[in-house]
Amino acid sequence: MTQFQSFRVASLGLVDRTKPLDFTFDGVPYTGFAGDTLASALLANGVHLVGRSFKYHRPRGILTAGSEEPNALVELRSGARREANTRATVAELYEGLEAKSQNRFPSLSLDLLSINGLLSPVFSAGFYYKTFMWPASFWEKLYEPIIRRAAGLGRAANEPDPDTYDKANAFCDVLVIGSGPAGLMAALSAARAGAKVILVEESFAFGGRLLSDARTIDGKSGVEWVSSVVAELASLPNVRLMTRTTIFGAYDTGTFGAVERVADHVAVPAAGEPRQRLWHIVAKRTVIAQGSTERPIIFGNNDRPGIMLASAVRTYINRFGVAPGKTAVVFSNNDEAASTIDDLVRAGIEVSALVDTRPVLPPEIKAKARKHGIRVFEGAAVADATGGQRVTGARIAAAYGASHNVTCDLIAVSGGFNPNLQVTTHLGGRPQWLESLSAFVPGTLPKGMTVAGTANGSLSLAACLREGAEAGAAAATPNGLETVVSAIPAVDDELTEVSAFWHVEGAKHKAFVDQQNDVTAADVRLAEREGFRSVEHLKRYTTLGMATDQGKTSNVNGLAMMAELTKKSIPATGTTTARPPYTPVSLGVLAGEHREKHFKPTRLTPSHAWAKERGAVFIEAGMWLRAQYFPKPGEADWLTTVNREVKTIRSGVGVCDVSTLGKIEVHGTDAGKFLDRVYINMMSTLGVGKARYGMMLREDGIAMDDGTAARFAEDRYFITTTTANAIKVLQHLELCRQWYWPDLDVQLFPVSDQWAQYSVAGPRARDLLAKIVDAPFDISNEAFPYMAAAEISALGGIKARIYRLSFSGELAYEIAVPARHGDLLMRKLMSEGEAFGAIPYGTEALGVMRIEKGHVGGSELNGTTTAADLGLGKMASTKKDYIGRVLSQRPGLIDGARPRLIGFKPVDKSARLRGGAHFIGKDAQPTAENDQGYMTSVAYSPMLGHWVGLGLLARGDSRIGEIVTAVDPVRGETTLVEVVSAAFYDAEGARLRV
Amino acid sequence: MSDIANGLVAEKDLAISEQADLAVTHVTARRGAKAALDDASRTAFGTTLPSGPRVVNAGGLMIVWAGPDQWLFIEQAKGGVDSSNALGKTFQGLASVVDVSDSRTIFRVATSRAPEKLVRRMGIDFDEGAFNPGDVAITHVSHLGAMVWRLPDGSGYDFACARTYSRDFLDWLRKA
Repeated sequence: MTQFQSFRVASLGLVDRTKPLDFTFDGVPYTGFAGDTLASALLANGVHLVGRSFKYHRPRGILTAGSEEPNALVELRSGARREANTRATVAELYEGLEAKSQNRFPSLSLDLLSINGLLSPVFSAGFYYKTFMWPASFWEKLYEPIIRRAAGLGRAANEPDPDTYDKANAFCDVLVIGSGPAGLMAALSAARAGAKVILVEESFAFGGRLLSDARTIDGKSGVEWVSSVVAELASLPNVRLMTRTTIFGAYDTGTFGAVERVADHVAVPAAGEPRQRLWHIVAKRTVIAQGSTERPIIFGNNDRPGIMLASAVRTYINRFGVAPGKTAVVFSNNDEAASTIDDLVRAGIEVSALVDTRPVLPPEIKAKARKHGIRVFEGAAVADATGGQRVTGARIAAAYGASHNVTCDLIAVSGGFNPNLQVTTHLGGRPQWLESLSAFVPGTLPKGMTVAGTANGSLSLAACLREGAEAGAAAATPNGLETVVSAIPAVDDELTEVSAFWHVEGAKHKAFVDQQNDVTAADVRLAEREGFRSVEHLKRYTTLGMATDQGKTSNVNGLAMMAELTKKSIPATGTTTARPPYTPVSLGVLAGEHREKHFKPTRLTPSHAWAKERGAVFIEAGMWLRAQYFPKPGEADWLTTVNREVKTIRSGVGVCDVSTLGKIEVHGTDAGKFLDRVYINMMSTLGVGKARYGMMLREDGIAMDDGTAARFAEDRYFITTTTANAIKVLQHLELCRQWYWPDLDVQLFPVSDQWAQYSVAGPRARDLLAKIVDAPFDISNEAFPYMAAAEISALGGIKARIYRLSFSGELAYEIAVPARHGDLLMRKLMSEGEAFGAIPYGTEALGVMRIEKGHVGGSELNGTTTAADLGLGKMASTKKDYIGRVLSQRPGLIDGARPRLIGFKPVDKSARLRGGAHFIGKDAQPTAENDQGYMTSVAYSPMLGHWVGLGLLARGDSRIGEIVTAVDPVRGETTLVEVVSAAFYDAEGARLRV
Repeated sequence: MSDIANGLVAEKDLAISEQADLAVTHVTARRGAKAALDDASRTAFGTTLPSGPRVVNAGGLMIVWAGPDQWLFIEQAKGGVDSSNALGKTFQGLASVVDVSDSRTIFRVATSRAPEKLVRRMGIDFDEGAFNPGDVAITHVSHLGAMVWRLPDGSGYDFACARTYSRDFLDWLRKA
């Protein structure tokens, strides 16, 4: 049965009472109104217990009315849309909303794990460093799973997110963050000055505290004044107004990250509408007007449901028309909070006591209390709250040691205000301590940023309006011009005095500093006793401030406690800075549309359409989709197909699309000199019309990439890179060209996508290509020998290039045409190739043939190997300098005991080899100490009739003939293998040059 | 609510077309040859080469700044004429010249003013008054490298991306 909203206050609130909304919490149906948050709607129905705490499973309620909420975290929605740790205080109510409490077992009202509270000596600060230590093997299997079950927050959805997320960019002259009085005035001033303004508001309505406090501006209510300013802003073409948007981070050059919750306030986003949108906002100037966060006071049982920040109490009363209790105690150290008694009385809530830590309250406040018949305790404190699942009373420690117990179901607490300066610190700004406010205020600011209003430590409404107007006008005005500040509206006076007070001594019950992470005052004292006194140590040892709320209501209190304990001033103890994000950001919105197949682009080769027609099986290779093999009907498995492909190529001819290779044109009068400096071998001596294999090293002497260089003119080279390193090599060469050697006349052109390039390999390759190239090109062995290169035409006038290169060890060529003709060339190769039994082949056969030849691939060029490790040491020129040369001679890299690339074959020819298997001595135990290297690549060689492998083995090149054991602990296999030459097939290279 | 952003252009379907059969040549000045290259360009095409991110029209030829001392020369392919060869001869010794006609895909969005959805999907300030006719930007969209220029007559925008990224790029453009 739907519950009645018995805590609504008829005459107050901005919710729309004509639009009731049904929702459920833990399966119980309730109603609220449009304009409610989940928190306000629960309170309207008298629900205060909404969750259990992280560690002790203590009952928790609603502490705040904003995004700083540490306690009221719920699971929102269900099924694929279920989201954990949603703050009920910012979740807008919508029809059909489903919410569940979290971290309780079996139910919210009966949580068996609350026994953890009795075990609190075990769970004190740093408990996981001290307990569960022995035996070590129990940690992963027993302790951690148990702790994770007991502690923790909500559950994420188990299904893929059905919603979409969008990304957007915006540019402006002035970004105003926050739409309270300071933000609205800043936006108005800047907009009136003609600046392009973006005003961002976290909530679903503009106005900030003006929606929560009963104030008068220019003779209007605060709410009416907000409406009039927003109406003016909305009428200006140079203003973009954004609600439901949180600026979560400040980044370089005036860039801000923001999340717009486009459809979080509805059950399901409308068709075509994203759930959330990630904004990059680039602003010339920024006005931070994010207000402040009230901080609690630390006293016994200060976490009981019904204990709420005084500002939140006013928000629930004035903005949402909800009485958060029937009988209240106000516990404060400042005028603003003490004035909450007005709001409580207006909402019909009995106030049983005003407890203020200051010895003497201002007469205006005392007069108000007297008028309402409220008992006032000056120089007093609430030492403990009573009650379990709801506060039932307060034990007041009054002056001169007296103690009073009062009954209440609501304690409105305030320990002062912390300016919301997090964004000002994201780029390294350090806050300053302001003694008069007992709070940190923004210190050094990034260029272009100003702060106004309570975010700047100015608490009065008049100051907020004035600072906002001035900051907005200044931000809108180019340097050197006189700023025009909008007229500042008149407001009623208020009291804003604060007197520092942090925690109550003599509490009998647990007193919480960080309510989300269950860090108590005792934990802070323990940290101090154990020497974790630095703020950074305090934080990490106790986890204070490390929860999803980033300690918005706890950091300064913890810092102040530590200052008291160490008898230092607060600024001498430390400061509080923040890193993005300001509030939690969903991974979905960061990913945007880049998920599943859109995670990265899919690059297709020029012969893709043809290969698809031909029934190729494709494989993802980086961003490329490449043909892996081309099965024929009746072939049982991939190995049958690949074996057939290899045998056909080695006896006839095959064609493979190798367009994925990186391709770079290197031009200029110094091109040869440039290449000499980046390759280990000489390239300046390469003749025009010739190609050469080359290797590049990283600066640290490790092999970076290999490929070929062809020279088409004195000042014109064309180089290739491996598919995987195409972009990396280009970046490296650009760095060399632009930064290391700007004096060289060299120009680089990335042309990977320009050319469709096919390898044509096998004894009949020449016969086939003779049908493709145009006369008068002479493709004979004499005219176009091994490692020749030429610019030709093919297929009757198409610009083409041909290289006599071989990865397979066969007579082979690579022929290239502009990519638009790639499909045509492949079809022509296949139709002309019919006479020679030509077949297409994919990456599998390519890999098998390169392993049969002992050529290195990505598994060997793996960022740990040197040229010498790979058996290519002799390629390195001693006549020149090149990148990586000096460091390649480091003792560690020339150590003879390093693993060297060598071949392996199974002793038992029927045995299968496994990539990744580790080598140990023949009879050695499979332990890490006996490890001598590992298998990098394996293939079944159809030519030899058994598996072959390449691997890195300590001193491998001097151990040919030795038998070692290959251990594959993953598959539980042990295989005896013989160390052999890596050139398994045609070791003399006779087939290349025919 | 965010899109009570004022003065939005009415969203219409974008008229996107791929510019087919283009001859695109990448020209980079040889070291120290920029001034002589400008002279040669003035003689051959009646215009110097843009020294910043701008695009100029020279007859049927469009010259797009593509980085410091680099330009794309774009024209309709003429059967039997090798544009990059011809440019290579014009700029002999002054510039390195490479045919990149098949390296890039160029999409044209024919609109005098970019619609809001497109504006906000760009990582650069693409707003009216910030990105003017003849302006060029080398940027990225949706993690894809891209060049964009506004046609000098203001009649549209050209987007160039690597050919093998064009499917993903078009997908992005369509979403805009």
